[in-house]
Amino acid sequence: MDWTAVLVSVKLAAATTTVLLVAGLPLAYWLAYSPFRFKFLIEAIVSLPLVLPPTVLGFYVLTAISPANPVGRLYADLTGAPLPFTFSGLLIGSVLYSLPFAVQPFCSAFAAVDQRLIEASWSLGVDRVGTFRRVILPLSVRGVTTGVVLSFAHTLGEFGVVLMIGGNLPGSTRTVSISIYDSVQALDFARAGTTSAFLLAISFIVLATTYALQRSPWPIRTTP
Amino acid sequence: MADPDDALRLDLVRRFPGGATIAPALDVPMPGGSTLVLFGPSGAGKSTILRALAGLDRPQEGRITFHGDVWFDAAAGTWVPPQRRRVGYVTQAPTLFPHLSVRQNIAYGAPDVAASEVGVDELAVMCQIGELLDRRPGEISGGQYQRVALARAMAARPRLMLLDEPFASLDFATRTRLRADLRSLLREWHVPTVLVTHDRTDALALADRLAVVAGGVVRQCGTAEEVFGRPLDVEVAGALGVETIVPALVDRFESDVAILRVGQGLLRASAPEPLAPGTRVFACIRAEDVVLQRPPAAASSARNHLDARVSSIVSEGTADRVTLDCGFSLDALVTRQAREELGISVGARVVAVLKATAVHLVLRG
Repeated sequence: MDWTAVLVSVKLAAATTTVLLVAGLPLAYWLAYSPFRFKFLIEAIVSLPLVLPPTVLGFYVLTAISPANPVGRLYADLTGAPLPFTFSGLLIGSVLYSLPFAVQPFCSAFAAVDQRLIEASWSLGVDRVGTFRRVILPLSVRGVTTGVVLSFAHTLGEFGVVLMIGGNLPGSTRTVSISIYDSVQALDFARAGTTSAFLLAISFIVLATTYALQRSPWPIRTTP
Repeated sequence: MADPDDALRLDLVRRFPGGATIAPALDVPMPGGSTLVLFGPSGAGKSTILRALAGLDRPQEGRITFHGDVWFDAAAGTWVPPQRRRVGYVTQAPTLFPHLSVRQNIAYGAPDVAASEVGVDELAVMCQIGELLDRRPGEISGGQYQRVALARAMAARPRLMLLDEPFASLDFATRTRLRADLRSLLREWHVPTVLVTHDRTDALALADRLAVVAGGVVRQCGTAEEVFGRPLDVEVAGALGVETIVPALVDRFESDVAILRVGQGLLRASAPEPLAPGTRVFACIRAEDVVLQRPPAAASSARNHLDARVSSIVSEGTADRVTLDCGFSLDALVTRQAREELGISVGARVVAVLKATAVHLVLRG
């Protein structure tokens, strides 16, 4: 089995999930509670990766991060190295690709928190950030967990975007799914089979654990 | 008018998408321990007023001041957020945080943890929930739930308590007990309170002042006695309900029956528990429960036989509403056939008969 590729995939999935947790929670909060009239446009953009072929997304990200374009040039000027075909470039594509898998569950969970609980917190003198931390987040723990697990699992199995942006550099951008593809191309079915089985097992364990944890930790009261 | 420092003043216009508009205005003294009841039918705009006071709903126009502080001034662009108003806002469940214990719920908004540790236990004992501190909100009864919500609001040291139908969805017995306890708690805490209700018993039992809200405006404001005794007009009377409600004084108590002094007359009312002589109550009588007889009255099991003179008769569809003067004003609802058979007309002398159980007593706040 290609342990180097496994390591790259796990590293990428962990980094993507972390970025989505940090950036996705505020974005989901805004989407759930903002009265902004044109919010639907942002919602549509966030959900685009669900319907767009990974190659299309990969193409645009690759173009955007290329040193020929302002974003890519700025990055290259600041760090001295270009983004395409690096782990960092891969991370950017991966975050965008998994965005709806994190933000949608976060957002549904926040929207499901009873508005009366939020108002109770405000009138008890607790500000919006405190209310988010002490009421909304704990009551959304299942949705947040779902988002985290889906992002992780989704990134682990990613292929198209990775190939477009990262290429196939062992130890840096060659992920498990690309390793499997390479093995099949080289007619090494035994190696492809082992890696595939490994990916299947990991994905199943992660999802099964999530569903097990999703049982309500406390009874949610709707009427007295 | 009242001392400017203890008044609640509001004058609002709130337009809702779809066309509904409410435009209430109020100017009432709210000293510590006093209760203002916003009374009226569902949809009249009571809860919107309360939400504007809490800082949870921002009207388009107007001004709110409480004890001299400006909370809202549309013209000046002032809007104090709920966090900085220090109000205790209690509504129907669910409002307790389901992931926190009762103790954590009560301590949630307390200003500092060290002080709240003592405060929580004290408040819990006062609200009779001392045994429940380690339970979760999902594990307590409806009445207990609202007691915890009250204790939690109080733990944050509010300057003003806002209670929106806090007893709705509770059964009758729980409601009665909680209402009685709430009255003494609010007195003890010495916090001014605005209570929203469409329940007459709540209003009579708790109001120092009563504001009748109908159609999005405050129609009448005064003491409960003034408002129920002299409704401004037919609409206010309709909002208040059709019962005869008269202030009375307990004269004495004899085996489950309270003998009340009402104006010049005496009225017997059954009471579930003994009432001390001198206790101030409201006697509430439904017009349907009053039976009219030609004098002299025949012997019957009914405890009240009141000599009366008919002062007016108004037809209400199948029945006639007969207003009587029997030392106080009393309405009776009788069929036209019965009225014609008995020859009841304006000025006639009749005997109004009603059972002691038909006289509903509400303790005056």
